[in-house]
Amino acid sequence: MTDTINVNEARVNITYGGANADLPDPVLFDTPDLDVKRWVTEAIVAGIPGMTADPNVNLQDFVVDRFEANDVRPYRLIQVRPKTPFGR
Amino acid sequence: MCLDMSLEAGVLVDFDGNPIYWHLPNNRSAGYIPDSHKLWDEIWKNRCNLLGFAHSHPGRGFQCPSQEDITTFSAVEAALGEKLIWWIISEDAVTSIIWVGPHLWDYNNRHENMKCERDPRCKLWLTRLREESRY
Repeated sequence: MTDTINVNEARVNITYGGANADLPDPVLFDTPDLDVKRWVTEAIVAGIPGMTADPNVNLQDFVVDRFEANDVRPYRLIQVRPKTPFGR
Repeated sequence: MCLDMSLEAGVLVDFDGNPIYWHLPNNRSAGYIPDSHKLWDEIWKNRCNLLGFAHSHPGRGFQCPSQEDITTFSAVEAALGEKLIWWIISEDAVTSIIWVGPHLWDYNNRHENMKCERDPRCKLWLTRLREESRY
């Protein structure tokens, strides 16, 4: 895993299949959501450390959240998680 | 009942039927509970003791899940790696929904009204969920 994360980059964190893991390498913070989800999908298919590979992963209904660095986490974060709206 | 006054509401329920998180965001409406990072955080935090999630639909009678509901059920379960019970309550009925497969969005509705009204796993949250929905 890359230790250095530049100010224009972000760590990518994914929750899938009951596991939570980071992509080994950072990405540009302003990477479009579709590209983030595509890269994460490819990573889950191939296998990420700490997460069981899934060749059938489908992130269509997942969303991409972005967080600035803070005192606790001195780097930007992109989080891929399931959507949670409900409605008629 | 006044539809204009009702608000959809939700609650996370643990294995013993206890409400563990009331989902009452300020931006909810009579027909919609918007996406929420906070709700996902609570689901993930409580994942080892999570039976399901209940939310309300306005009106009376047994309620079917919307496409928005079903795709949310499916996404949350994919992230958890676990299946949950999804209840939809109305003014006078309770429907429980579970994944039956084999396809991603194959969910089955069960009309649980009398059963749920008596089930100790429901009675700890059902009345308050209706109150929070302004029924």
